[in-house]
Amino acid sequence: MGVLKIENLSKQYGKKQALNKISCEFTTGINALLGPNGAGKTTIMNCVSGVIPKTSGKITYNGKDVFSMGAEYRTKLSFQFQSQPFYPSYTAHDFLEFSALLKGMDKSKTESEINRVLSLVNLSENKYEKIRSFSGGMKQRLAIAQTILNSPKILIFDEPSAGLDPFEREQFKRIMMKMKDQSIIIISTHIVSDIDTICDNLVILNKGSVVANDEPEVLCNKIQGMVWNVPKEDVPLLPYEKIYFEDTKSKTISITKPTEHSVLCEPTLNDLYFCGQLNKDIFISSGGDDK
Amino acid sequence: MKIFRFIIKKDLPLLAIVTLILIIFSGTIQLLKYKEAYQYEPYYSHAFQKLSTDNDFYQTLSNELAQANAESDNVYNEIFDFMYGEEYDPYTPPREIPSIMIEKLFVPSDDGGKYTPLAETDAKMLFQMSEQIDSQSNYKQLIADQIENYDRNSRRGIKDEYILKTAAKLKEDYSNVLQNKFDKPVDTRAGNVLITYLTTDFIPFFAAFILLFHRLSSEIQSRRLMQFSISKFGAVKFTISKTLTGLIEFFMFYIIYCLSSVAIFLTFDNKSGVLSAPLQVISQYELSPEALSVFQYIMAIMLTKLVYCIALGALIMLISFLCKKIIFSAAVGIIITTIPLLISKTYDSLSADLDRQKIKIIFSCDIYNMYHNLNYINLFGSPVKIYWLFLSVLIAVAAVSTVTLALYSRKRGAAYV
Repeated sequence: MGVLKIENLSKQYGKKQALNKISCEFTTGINALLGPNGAGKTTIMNCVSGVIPKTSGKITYNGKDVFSMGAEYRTKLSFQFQSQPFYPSYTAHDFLEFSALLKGMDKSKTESEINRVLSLVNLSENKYEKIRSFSGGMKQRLAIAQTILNSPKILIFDEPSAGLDPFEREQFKRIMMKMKDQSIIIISTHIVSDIDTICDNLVILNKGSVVANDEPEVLCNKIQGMVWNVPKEDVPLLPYEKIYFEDTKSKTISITKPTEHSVLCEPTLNDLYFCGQLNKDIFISSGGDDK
Repeated sequence: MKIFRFIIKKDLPLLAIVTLILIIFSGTIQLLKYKEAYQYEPYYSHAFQKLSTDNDFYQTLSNELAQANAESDNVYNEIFDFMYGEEYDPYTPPREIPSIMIEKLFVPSDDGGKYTPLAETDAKMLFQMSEQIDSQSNYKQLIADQIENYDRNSRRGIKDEYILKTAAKLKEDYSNVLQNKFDKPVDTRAGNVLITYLTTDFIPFFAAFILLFHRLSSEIQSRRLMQFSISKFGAVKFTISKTLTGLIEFFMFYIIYCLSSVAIFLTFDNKSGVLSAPLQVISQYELSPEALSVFQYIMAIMLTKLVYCIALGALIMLISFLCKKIIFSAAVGIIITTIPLLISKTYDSLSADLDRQKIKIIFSCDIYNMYHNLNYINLFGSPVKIYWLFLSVLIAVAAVSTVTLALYSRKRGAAYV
């Protein structure tokens, strides 16, 4: 089992503190980085993949400092950017073949691996089509195929569901489920439904700090008895910024009953996400960031 | 190597199209030049062959031509007098020339019916031949005079150390040239065309530009560099692979370009023996201090141009890597491709500054002057052959461009793992 460990990681852009001594651990399985835009998700991933330098802190893979591992670490790593770049004149097959060469794959395995990943993302029929003719969703699927090519030990996805239709999102989840036993998968998103049913470890971020880091069930237990359905007539009684909406319901997080007609409900990952943004002290008081 | 093969395979269609177009263009220009040089065939070859057997032939031919020209001039004068009378009056219309007079002036040409001016063809042919023969018969004397001049310099009491050192070097070079025994006349028309074409042709420079200006564009901006750098290969190897394959592709073009030029040459001249003749038999090269055969000089031109193109290509790729938009890399690329070549055409304005001119020779890839007389440059008081400095400078340009590419790609890729 692989462990990617972040200890006291800080990143400063000029005077702006993007990450503030964060510590968390990603193990084999699906790890989700959840937080709003600007929370520091992409900065963490960029630091982990060596795209940007850290200001301070430590990142280790199985106990080894990743910054001293060089090609050994890069071989184990694959990163799908938010907007994946391609060579438009290449076919899907060419692009994956080129990626395979850069990843140092054996020539004998390349063709079968390309076929495998293309079939996983439903692009087998478009294998020899030029990428310039692909739709946004097809490009996104090709990006996923490129990322999972050669089954790297550490897979990082930045907003992987952008541009995917509901069916393709489910397909993406299936692919992740297939790979979760072999790889540390880190998915960064602000869309809870992308990871709600598949994630094994959840890191909730807010303004460059880890608000909570644990298994989703454990975190849900921490806010058990704090998630309330607020009936419509009671909504004006609460401060506007304390309310969030899920499906047809208005909800709030509170240790005490917020309004007379509010009803307790079972916490979901969506509630965890909003709890992390609206009332992060709940996690801190219950030791949520001390994993 | 696998990655090299892959990239080259992907680029082959573009390479093939660019190569085909440029080779057709280059071939057409060369054929036109050869056609011009061979316009007096087969008479020229026949006359040239007689040169080898008849020592007086050249003199006889010259005398006959002078006689013919004099006669032609007399006829012109006669006709003018007839048309305008002895007192020229611009308001009086000229008299019509009787046909018998026209026939006196013109002789029928070989292709029948039409008339060509008397002896004009002969004169041009003889002029072309005299250019060839003069170089071959005079170069040894010219060089001997040059050596004598350098000797005289030292006798005159010139104290400038650099001038004396250069004179000594040139004397040594010229002595080497004179050791080459070559006495029989050789037909240098094709050799002349090939050498003139190769030294002045810009096509390889533009090929380097066309093939390479887009090579690395958008790799940084589109984040492909970042993407591909998170792999076993890493950013540096990725960029260097693309750079080297670009240069290999240019080299492939260049080989075809050179072979096609040599092939065209051989279709015109495969038996004159000009390739093994000393370079000095070629018109304009009589005073070259290089003890090279024509063949060796052609190889030297090809190598010199190749080195220039490699440096130019590396620089163009670096620019394409740095420029945000392909249009900028194209604009900057075309400037650095053409400006030096245009500068090379401006010698007269700077003729007083010899060393500056020699620097220009290097940066404009002026091969003719690189291998011509006075091809030494003052480097810290010592005379150094310009082409050695040229090679050093261009290898440095290519190396610095490539190292900058590598370092910058490391900085812009996933540099920290």
